[in-house]
Amino acid sequence: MRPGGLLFIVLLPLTAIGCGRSGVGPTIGDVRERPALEDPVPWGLTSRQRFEGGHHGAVAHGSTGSAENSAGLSWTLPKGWVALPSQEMRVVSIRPDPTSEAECYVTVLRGAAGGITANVNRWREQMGLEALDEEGVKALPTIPVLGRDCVLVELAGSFTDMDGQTEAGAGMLGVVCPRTSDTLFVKMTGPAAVVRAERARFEAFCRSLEEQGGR
Amino acid sequence: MRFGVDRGLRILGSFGLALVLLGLLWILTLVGTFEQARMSLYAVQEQIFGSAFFVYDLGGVPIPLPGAYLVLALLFVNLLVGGMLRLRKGSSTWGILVTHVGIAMLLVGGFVEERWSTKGRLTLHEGDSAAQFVSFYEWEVVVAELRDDDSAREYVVPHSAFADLGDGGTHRARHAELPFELVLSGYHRNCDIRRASGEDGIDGYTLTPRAPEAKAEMDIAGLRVDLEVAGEAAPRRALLWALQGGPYQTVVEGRRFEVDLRRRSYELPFRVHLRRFERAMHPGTGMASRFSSYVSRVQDGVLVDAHITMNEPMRHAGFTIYQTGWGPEGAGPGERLFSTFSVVENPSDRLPIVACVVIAVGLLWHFGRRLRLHLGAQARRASGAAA
Amino acid sequence: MIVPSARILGLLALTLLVVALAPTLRAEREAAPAEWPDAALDAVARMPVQAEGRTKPLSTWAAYTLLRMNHRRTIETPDGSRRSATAWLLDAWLRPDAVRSYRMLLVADGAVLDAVGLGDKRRKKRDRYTLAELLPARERLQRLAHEYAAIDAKQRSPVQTGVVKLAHDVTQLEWLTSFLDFARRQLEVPDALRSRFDGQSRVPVSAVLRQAPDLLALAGHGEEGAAAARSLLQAAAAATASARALAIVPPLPDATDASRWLTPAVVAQAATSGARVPDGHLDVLAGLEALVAAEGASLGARAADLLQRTHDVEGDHVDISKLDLEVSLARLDPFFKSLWLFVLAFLLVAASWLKPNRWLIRAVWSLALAALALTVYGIVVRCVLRGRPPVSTLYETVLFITAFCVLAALVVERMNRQRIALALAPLLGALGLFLAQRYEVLKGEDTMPQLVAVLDTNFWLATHVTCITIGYATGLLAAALGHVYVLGQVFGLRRNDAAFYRSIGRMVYGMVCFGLIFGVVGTILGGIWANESWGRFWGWDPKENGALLIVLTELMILHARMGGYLKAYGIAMASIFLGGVVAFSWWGVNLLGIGLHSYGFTDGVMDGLRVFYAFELAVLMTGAAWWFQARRVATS
Repeated sequence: MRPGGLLFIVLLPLTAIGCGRSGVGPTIGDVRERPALEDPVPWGLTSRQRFEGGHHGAVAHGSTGSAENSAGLSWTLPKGWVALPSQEMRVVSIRPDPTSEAECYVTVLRGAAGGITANVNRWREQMGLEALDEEGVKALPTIPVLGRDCVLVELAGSFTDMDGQTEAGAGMLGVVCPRTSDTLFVKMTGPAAVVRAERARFEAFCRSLEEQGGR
Repeated sequence: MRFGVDRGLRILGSFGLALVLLGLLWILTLVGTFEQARMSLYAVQEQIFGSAFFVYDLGGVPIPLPGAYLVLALLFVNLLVGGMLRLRKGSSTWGILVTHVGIAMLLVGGFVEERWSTKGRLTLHEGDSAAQFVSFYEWEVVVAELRDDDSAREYVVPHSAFADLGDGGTHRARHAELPFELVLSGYHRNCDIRRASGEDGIDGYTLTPRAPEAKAEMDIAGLRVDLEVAGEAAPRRALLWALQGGPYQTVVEGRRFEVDLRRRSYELPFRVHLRRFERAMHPGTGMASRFSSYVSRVQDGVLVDAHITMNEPMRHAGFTIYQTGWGPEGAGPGERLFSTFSVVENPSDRLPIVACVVIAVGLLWHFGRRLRLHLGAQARRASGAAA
Repeated sequence: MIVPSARILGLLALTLLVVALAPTLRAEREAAPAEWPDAALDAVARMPVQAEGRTKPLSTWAAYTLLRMNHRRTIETPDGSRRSATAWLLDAWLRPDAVRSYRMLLVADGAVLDAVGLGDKRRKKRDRYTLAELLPARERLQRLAHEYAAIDAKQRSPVQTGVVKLAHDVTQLEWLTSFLDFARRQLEVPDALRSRFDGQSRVPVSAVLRQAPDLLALAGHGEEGAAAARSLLQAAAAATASARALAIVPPLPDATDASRWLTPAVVAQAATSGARVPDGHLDVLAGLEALVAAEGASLGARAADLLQRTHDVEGDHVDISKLDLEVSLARLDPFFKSLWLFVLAFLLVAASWLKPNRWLIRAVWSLALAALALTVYGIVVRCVLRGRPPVSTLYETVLFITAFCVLAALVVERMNRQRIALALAPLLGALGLFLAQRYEVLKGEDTMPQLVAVLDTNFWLATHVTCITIGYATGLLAAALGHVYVLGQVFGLRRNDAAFYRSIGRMVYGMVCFGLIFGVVGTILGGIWANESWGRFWGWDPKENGALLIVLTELMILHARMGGYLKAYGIAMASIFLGGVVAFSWWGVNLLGIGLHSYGFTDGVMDGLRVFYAFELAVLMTGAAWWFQARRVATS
């Protein structure tokens, strides 16, 4: 009997394999209490809101500096960003930090400055990329700047070498914002990895731009 | 009868069976390695562990193979019978016996882990805390009845109720306090939501299945829920999708209900608060050299600070919490970070370490003894030759 | 059937080895630098630079950069002289135009040049090109590289991979040759600012950067001279913009990332945008300007001065204390020297087969021990330099396994004195170090890389990784002994010497047992480590599986022996199979999921494995054929 009993014990795991997880009856057994949510979902969501509402991950960050200048613009600098001495042609030049190789600047050109498509393609060309047609430009993401939906371009002109190390080649973020009498450009260039990392702050900066004095 | 048992034991404990089982395990391991180039790890494990037998497709040639579960269970029996029960006991086999005990412990540990462990994920932003974690692969349908203060009573339909509704079939769930019955159907393990017109869609939308992701935890589930309210001719129909912006909301008999699909959640016996997350990069590169979380855990009003980093998890109350990731990707200085942990409750968590020591002792004892005997014999032969 | 004697075997082995090693035996190391003073070369070699996250000597950086571009550690100049990597680096700094005409950019397949419109039918398919030759195609090269870089590295075609690498090399070489352009320039000082520069009209860039805080203050006020200050600062930033090849300036004291070294371009940028840049940092830039200006013998003194300046930079964050040790290790080059000693020892072993002699055997022992000592010394110094246990990268497994195989073979030889293990020791040593050599050339990168976060644990590296690696080594040694057994039987070596074969059989068995201990313990430790890192004991990771395959193979061998299914010959055959499993686990799993054709590293590994498996298959088939024939003869 002894060996048989032992056999039974060792075969136990085997029998356990045979029977899968037990089926669940039609009645709900698990009932929990939930305290009020800090950020409750609004009541009355439509299917469209539920399935196409989108997710807004990039929220403007705590800002330290705010400034304004001759172009009648004001903005809030994302945390850590530093403004550089002013340069001709540029409304403002900014670096994510003093030793960063990336730079962000705002320029304003008269009129339509060639139009959105031409400007987007000028940038793409600089980065060694093929030009886009009108449709392609329309499909680009947009961001609200100065009350308008403006095209946001993110380009990586750098390349990653075989070992996955990112070369400090060029990356670029750009926004074209056509206004009534001129066109505003916000552009960030630098090593692709740095630019990519700054994207959320770049967007926050773009959103913080405001026109002063009802210009 | 006696004879039969002896004979059976002899076969179960034989070297021949051991060899066959080790060989099968060898093949399964090789298959499991190569298949990863073709499919996700989750799918590979499902194939190899999922059933007692499966057919492996080797470049068009079907090869029937036993499942790893069956092989491991038989190996355990073989080990127990041949390597422990029937082993001649003596100083010459003591090391082998100990080694076999250690291997058996490993197998038992693996079995316990497979059957009785819980694994999941916990994501915390700096400054946040949580007392539950969510499953990597399992989902649950939750009916919440909202009160005026937005607190709620939640009725949970578990994953097992709808996991196999992929190929048709429905599951009906009810609770005495709910004024309706739920009919679940059309479950997809990974799917997208698309606009659909007319009869095809539910309120203009439909779920379209996607191939499973390479990492199964990236799958986005979805299913259809019909609410059958007593006295209404047609059910209220809704789609639930794991990435939806909010739950399905409806009012029945003046009571507000939300129906949501979310990752299955588990309670922790303590609360974890992420005070600070730190990541260090190798200078000038995008390669992390270290990331670690400074947390506090609170249980029964007692607060204890702890530090969780790669290779140094926090163990408490049967749960182990591991640093696995962080985000947002490419975050700059000053950005609010989140930290991702794996949470595991595994009763056999520490068994492998004990088993490892036992096995090492057994093997060293056994082979050390063999070497000593061998060298002794050689020395005697040498001295004999000299004389 | 003709049965070759031990003598012929010896000759055969010798010839094979010489043929196999011939390509590396060309003396292409430490060529005499023709012109730069030794003092200059020495100082520049010891200069710190931060690359791939590590602060290392400039000579190391130069050697691996050259190895990647040129597939050699030295370079042949157009006039036919051979220069060391450090001399080449000095050339690039001080004579950029000459370097642009060095033939040093190795293109593995002419199709890469066809793709960028530079194809030339007269050139060899695999050839070296100068930077000057490639510059006309630069635009197209970069454009294509951008395009191909977007493709996942594993999915790229060989030509695409070649284009991406070439674009990378061209960019890096361009940056390197323009690195000191700023030091050759003098900036024009606007009249309004001359008083700040002792009345000089032209000043070096570093002088402007020293004045940056004042100039910035001036530029900020709308006063007279503001525009001049702005333009001078911009000129300084623009002049240094191309100095970005090497991060040789220690971190700024107030920087957010206090461990990141800076290129002169970044230092200038920081200074011109108002960050506090201490004088010591600017002294390094001034040192580079002085180096460029130096002539003849003064170059050595200038270089030494530059080195001193980098050491003097403010801050206690600068850990460059181990750099000199690394330079001295590179100069000693222990692995290359031991390769030679092993080859020599093996030649003597082979000679002893031709004509047995006690003194020859003693010489073999001495050479093998010396080579082993040198190898171990190299491994130990690497441990000191990295602050890590001996094995944390694939390259280090090669070194460690080689050393361990040699050591184990010598110990076995001490125990049974059959001169079999003694012959295997130098052979395995030479093969292993040859492999290490090939690995370095194929990989073309620093063999002391930084580790990803999960590997940053000396405890698990020291226990699990070391155990597994010893498991590999013993498995391979068992396989090597198995070859001796099987091939010896097949070729009728010591045909009637049963004791000889009993002895080898015991050695094979012993090695399998030994390997099992380390394999099992190492594999379980790996599981425990995985459980500590990720919360799962077994994750079906290919590398884990590979280790399990080895353990299972060894378990099968031992149980088959116990069950009487395998005798000595069968165990020897099985151990050859075990060698194949070890090779799969060691190298093969790294190739899973990687396209079958790519240049460089994976391709080289793939080819090596193919040859290895073809050879092993041939041995096993020959061994099996012999066994069946012997059995037929015995039964009839």
